[in-house]
Amino acid sequence: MSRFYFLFLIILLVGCKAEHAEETNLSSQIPPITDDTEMLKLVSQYNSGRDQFSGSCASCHGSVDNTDKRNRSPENIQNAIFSIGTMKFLKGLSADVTYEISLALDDQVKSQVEEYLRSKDPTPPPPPEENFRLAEIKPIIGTRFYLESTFEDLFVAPAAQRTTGDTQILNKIKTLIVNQGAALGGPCRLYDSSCPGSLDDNREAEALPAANALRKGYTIRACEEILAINQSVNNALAKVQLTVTSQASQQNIAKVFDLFFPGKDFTQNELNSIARIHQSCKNKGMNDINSWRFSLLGLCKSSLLEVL
Amino acid sequence: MKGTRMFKWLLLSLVLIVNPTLTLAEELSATALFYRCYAQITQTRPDRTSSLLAKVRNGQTNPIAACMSVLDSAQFNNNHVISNTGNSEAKNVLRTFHNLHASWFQTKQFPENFTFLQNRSTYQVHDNSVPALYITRSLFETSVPIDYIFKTTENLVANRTTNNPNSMQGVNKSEYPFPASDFRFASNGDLLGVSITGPRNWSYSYVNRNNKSFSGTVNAAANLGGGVLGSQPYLLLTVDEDATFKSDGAVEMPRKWARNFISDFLCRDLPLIRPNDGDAFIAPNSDVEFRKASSCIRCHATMDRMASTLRNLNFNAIAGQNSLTPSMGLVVAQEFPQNKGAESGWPAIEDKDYAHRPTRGTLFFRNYKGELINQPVTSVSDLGLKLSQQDDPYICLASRYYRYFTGISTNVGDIGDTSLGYSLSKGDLERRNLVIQLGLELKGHKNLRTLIQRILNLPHYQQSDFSAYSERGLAGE
Repeated sequence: MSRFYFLFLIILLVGCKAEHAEETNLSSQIPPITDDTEMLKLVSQYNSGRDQFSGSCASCHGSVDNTDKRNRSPENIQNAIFSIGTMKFLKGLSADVTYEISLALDDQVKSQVEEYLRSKDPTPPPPPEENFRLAEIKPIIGTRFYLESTFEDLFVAPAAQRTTGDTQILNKIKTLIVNQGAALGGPCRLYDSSCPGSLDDNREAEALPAANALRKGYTIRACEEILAINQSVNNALAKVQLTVTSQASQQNIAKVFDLFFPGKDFTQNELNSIARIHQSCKNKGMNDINSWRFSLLGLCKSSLLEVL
Repeated sequence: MKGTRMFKWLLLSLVLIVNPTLTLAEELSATALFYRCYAQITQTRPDRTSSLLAKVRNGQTNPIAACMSVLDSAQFNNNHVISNTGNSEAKNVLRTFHNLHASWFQTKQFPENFTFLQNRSTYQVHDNSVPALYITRSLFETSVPIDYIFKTTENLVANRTTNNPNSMQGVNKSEYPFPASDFRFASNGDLLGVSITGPRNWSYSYVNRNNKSFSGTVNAAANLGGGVLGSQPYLLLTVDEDATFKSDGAVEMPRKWARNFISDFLCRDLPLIRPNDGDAFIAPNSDVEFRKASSCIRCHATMDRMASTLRNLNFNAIAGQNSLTPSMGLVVAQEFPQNKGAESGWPAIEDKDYAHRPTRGTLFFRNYKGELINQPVTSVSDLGLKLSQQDDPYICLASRYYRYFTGISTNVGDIGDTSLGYSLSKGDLERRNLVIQLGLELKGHKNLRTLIQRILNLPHYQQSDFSAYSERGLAGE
């Protein structure tokens, strides 16, 4: 009987050793790493093993970090491939590859690699104040399409009432505003129904244009040439129920202000400035239309007209 | 027009007085606020006789709600077009936002890497703003969540007033080597919505200058996966290679495509990782110099390993200068067959079979929080799916809309990367955090309309200067 007990004990010991072998971490078999080159090699093999696991194993065993097959030695993996029917298609994996997969599955190797990579990336010190770099801020200004709409809103009669003068104004708007994609922004393409100007300029035109001297040049020129046409003055005043013979009273000037800058507040000083211009024109012997022309010109040239 | 020097000085003084930079920041009135948001949504002024404007002036309608109703006028119906195709206001809304979306793409012009007649045909067959259509569709078809742009397999074309023109730029269909009944030019006219096309399997036939006949069939609408990433126009715009191109894993890779979508959809420029993140890939014996230096690896570790999902890209250049009749050509992006086994790891030397191996790659970058994302992907489709699961694309979109409506740019990258050598002010940090919040909300609801409404309702949107020049921050928003 004691012989059987002894035999039983030996069998138990063999079983324990076998189980212990399965739990032996690969990391315990890796010699200590003393320099960066060796560490980088380990990192490279670890990453390669992760790629290999994802490509060859993850479809059945889940992701490399969450699989229940972690901490398997190369021998475990090889045994599985050659003994499990559904894994036999992986017989072609080389010993190097199964070694790398084993590294990727090893918890201690994972910690070692992550700690190494963290050591290369220390917590940043507080930044010195002179290194501040402010984000770009652009005032929101309208594109050429917005300006086209604005100039039509101010200076062109409703469609049913248009005259030769309105046609002249519309042509000015087209030439000086709509055709200036590069300067005034507002992209469009050759497939659009209306995309005037150069194809390259139109495609690259900014959706959020910047204020600059070129843009200001076009808008000032548009104001001067459009307001040189009498019809534009008549139209603008008519939109606020005024005519060229209307007095430049505070009330009437406020209406004109609201026409150009809807909903925006203005100061008494601004109203008085327009009134003074109008009065000065009259004092110099200018007629009604010219007096109003100069008054409207200053408002048209203001940057407020294009700021959203 | 006559004037005196006195009048010019008076005018100058008036211009200086009525100058926004001298105006202190203030809260806009309801009318001014409506004019602002209306202008940004339509790039026009509102009709001064419109009942909506009257309601805003009278206080009957909130200006932001009024603007949202204008935005909604361009919503698509079940046919994927605006409901009233005669509504000029709706068309202005659609045009404004589609052009805005198109302006976000780094590459707007088809590169000219093929023969003249093939290059010309690319413009005639493909609308170069189609990549933006995916975003535009999601905005105006609220049943289409924004992650659709990375996950769909649909092929979109623009639906315009003329959808099947017989000629384009003076060229007729008969000049192409495809049957006229199959062949389609890009649509032109006012943008009305989108059309979803299936495969465009066009058979071709032409005789080359050596009197040899060529024929075959190509899918001119082939989508290689990942939604907009694998769509024909996006590939033709961004890969920027010629007909001889074939990936080899080391030297020849579709890197520009990766660089483009990093800029287009992550709002970032390379490098996207910190120094030494890529050191594991240094290969002293590599065929390519960039595998030997840490500084070079820093860009290539991200770019090349994403581009490897498109390794099997092949350009089929048909007809063109090579042909006698018909003369026009076409370039189609298609795929090499996958008939070789997978490689082990990122190759450091040229692999002549690389383009025929499984299209594995890795999504490898530091996100806005500085976390290193290191995800294997199996294809362009899988890359699109994994991108859609990250926060960064949504934060990128939020930052773009925020910039459009306020003029304020925000940094949405890895600000913990000290190698960049700069930091953000208190105000910039607060705006960055706000945009991150908007982006995460967008990831949750996936609705661009909701994002826009959120931005328009921000208190600082209603300030004349958007509080842009104030360091008092955005506390309470």
